[in-house]
Amino acid sequence: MPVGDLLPELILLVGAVIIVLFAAFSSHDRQAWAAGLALVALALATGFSVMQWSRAPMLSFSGVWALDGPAIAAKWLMLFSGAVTVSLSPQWMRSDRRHGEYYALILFALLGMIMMASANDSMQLVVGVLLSSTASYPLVAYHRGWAPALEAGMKYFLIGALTNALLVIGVVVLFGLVGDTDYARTAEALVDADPFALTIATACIVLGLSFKLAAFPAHAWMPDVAQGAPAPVVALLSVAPKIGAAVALARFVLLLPVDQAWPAIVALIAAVTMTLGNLAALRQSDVRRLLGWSSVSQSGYALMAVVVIGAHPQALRALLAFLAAYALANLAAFAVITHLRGRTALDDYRGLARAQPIVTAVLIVALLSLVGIPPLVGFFGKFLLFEVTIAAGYGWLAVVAAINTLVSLFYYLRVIAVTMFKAPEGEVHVLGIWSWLAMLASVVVLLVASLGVEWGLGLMASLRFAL
Amino acid sequence: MSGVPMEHGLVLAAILFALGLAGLMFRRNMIFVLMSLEVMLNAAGLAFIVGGTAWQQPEGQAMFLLVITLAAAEASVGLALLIQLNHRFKTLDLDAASRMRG
Repeated sequence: MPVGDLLPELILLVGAVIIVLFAAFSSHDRQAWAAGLALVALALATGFSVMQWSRAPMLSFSGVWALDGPAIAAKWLMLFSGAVTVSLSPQWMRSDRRHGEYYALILFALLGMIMMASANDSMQLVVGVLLSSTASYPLVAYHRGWAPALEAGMKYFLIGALTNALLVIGVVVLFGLVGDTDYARTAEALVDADPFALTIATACIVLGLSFKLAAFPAHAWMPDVAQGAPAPVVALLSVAPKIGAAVALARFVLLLPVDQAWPAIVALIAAVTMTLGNLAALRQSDVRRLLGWSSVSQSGYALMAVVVIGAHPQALRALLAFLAAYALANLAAFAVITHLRGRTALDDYRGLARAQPIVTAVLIVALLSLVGIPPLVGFFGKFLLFEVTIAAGYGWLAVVAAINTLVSLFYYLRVIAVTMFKAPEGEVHVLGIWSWLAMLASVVVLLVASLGVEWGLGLMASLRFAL
Repeated sequence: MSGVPMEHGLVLAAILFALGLAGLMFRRNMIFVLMSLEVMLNAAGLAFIVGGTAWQQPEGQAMFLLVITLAAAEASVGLALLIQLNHRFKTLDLDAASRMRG
């Protein structure tokens, strides 16, 4: 058994178990030490997955576990977002005297998301999705004394439970058609499968993954979670599950026979998701909710690359480049919100530029990168997306996305205008040194990624799924 | 092979799933919603066993164990949420606890 192929995941698992034990037996004033343990686990896991990068793409554990470029790149992004979340958390959670288990839940959720990105077997896909969902519900409702957090947790749970059940049904139908859960054999057997049953299976699996992506029709939880959940948790849940689900979806749709209607369906979902997210974000007066809807629309853009994944050789690179750019920008934006103690009403951001110039600068950089303004990395991600979409013959989808980008400019700029041009009111309270450092780290990585974009894209050019 | 034909198992699974789905859609009481959820996941588990038997593959049984375990984890999280919900809102009605809009 090549246990070494699983080292990063094993470290996350062992780290989470150690944190649970530590939190159970340590006093209240030492609970925050669990954050240190979690950071050590994340750093070790990242180190071991860096060592996996130089190897050739391969399948491990008799074809169940994929160790290829997309899986490892997704792993780095998810581990980085986990590290930012963990560093943002100790001071945010100060009011909760027993919060050691919170970090264990973050590690379990990350483990599930990493399993999604690496799954080369529908059985493992189900386990990854369900593990990450089950660990995320309590994270959202962690402030159990606060009604909006509970409400967000409840909605997240209900939508998640329904879509996860549908995902399991989709996998059952697929298993019934094929008689195996392994992707390689599934692809072979699907060539002459019953098209009706295959359509049902595909629809259920796409629906199940659209929940993790926060894409239409299972997007409704995202704004509520963005508003009600602890701000560090939103930083994680608006980024990491999407990366895992997007890679998992790209891996899954490549198995389907070419004559299927799935590209049209995914294209439709992409168009509806981005339009819906942007239109809803336009009329928000609550910054966290606005960013929640914006993150829905960004999922729509990411799905554009999934549509053409089989039709264009560079689609996978475009997908990962866009996801990386989105992840860095969104993490920086939610780090700013956490650092400002989760202030949420747009009016509370008046004149922030004068009171907190650095924090405002980070927020502006993050929002401009989300729109895709040229020197920032968000531009390159979107540019590649448009390129592959048009080259593969989905011009209409690129036009919809371009119109949506213009619309999104309006609400991102509105937030920036409020911070710059309004008179400040009252004092601005900030969280502390850790959230400040995490915020700075995320924006520095964002800027470095913008400067080194050519090198990064060159590194990504050879990304392939191991098949 | 066993005496039960495959179609019977699949039809039973489909009926169970439809019942669970209907319960999840139309019930507003959180306890019944959780029960419907369990029924749905168990229907999927039953379908896995039937499929595994038909193909003579061990995956069906393995998947059933996984689904049951994950369903239990999900249900326990759901029950914890339910207790907090009842504590905070003094009701188990989902619509009464829903205030965020837009």
